[in-house]
Amino acid sequence: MYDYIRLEGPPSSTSTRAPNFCAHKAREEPTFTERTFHNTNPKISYSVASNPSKNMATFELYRRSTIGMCLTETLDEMVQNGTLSPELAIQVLVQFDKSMTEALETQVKSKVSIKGHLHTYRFCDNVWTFILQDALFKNEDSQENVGRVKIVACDSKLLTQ
Amino acid sequence: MEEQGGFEENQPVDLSIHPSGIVPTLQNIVSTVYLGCRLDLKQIALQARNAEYNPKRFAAVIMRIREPKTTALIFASGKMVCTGAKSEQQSKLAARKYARIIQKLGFSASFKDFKIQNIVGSCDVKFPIRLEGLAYSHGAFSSYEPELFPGLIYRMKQPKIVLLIFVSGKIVITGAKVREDTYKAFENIYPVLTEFRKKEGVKIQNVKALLSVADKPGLMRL
Repeated sequence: MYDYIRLEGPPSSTSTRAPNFCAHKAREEPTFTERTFHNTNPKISYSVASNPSKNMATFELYRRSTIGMCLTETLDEMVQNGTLSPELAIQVLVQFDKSMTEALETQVKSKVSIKGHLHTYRFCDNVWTFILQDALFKNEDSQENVGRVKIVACDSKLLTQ
Repeated sequence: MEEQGGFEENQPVDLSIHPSGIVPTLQNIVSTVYLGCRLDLKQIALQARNAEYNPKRFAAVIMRIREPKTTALIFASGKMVCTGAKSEQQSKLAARKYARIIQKLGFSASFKDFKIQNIVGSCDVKFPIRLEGLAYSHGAFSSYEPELFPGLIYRMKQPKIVLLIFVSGKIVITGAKVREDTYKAFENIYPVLTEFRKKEGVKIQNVKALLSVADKPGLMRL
């Protein structure tokens, strides 16, 4: 029932450029000092979709995936040169939140197991945060070791309530 | 669980305190302390590691440390409960570590009224016990309802301690605020346990007799 994992693995694997359209902090330094790391969490607030027919709350946590960052960058560019209004850009992002949730729920069948030493855990505001060390990611046909992993998970049941 | 034998090898048992020659192993210590200031639990949950806070379920932050391996319940009133330590000193050390964590998060926490609230110990007398007989002859102190719980619950009056006594000879001693009470309670019960020691051979014969009766199809209908 918990959605989304975020890898803080090899820094080369993910884009680290933060767009200015969405005021997210850059994630260059995977910092594990207590005071800062909660701030680097992806934004997990409920946003009520502007589409009145399907007034469903969504998590914004997929916006910092590679595809989410790319979308944000593109929208950012379009707002900058005036081809898109900021309101419409936000609406696109909200639709992205919804579509990601739906796609992961209905179209992804593969399973991954993650096993590692639990360095830190936290549960606050209905969000679980786990930091694993020396984690082993396994799916049907491959496996990979990652030195440090941060998992942020929200209960998708909360969206339907 | 640590083997009792290991303990005995390291240092001889003081027979003046433990005439039975068995020293109950302390398994859990529960202590409380007052930190002397109100706490913002959400701030604590956000900033500290290994913390859980779900106010809908429970009105305290649940925090854990690895050394000494313990769990703390931290309440907004500033009161804290520390569980899981294996000795009084470890419990106090752990409570101090939690207080230090709270301090480091910016609260003016002090360390007041530390108190051990409960000590749980256990041991193994290494012989089986006839719980029915014990329950019958110590009726005023015993509660034995095998359909509800397989152990005999023995509420000792002096010291005021509760013992769980199992057929296997394993004993759990709880309710003590000082470890001496745990030891005293065990020494009080030990002679009683030897009195109700089960002769296993007899039991096996009984079981065989019962089985042979059960085998007869005519009797089964009764």
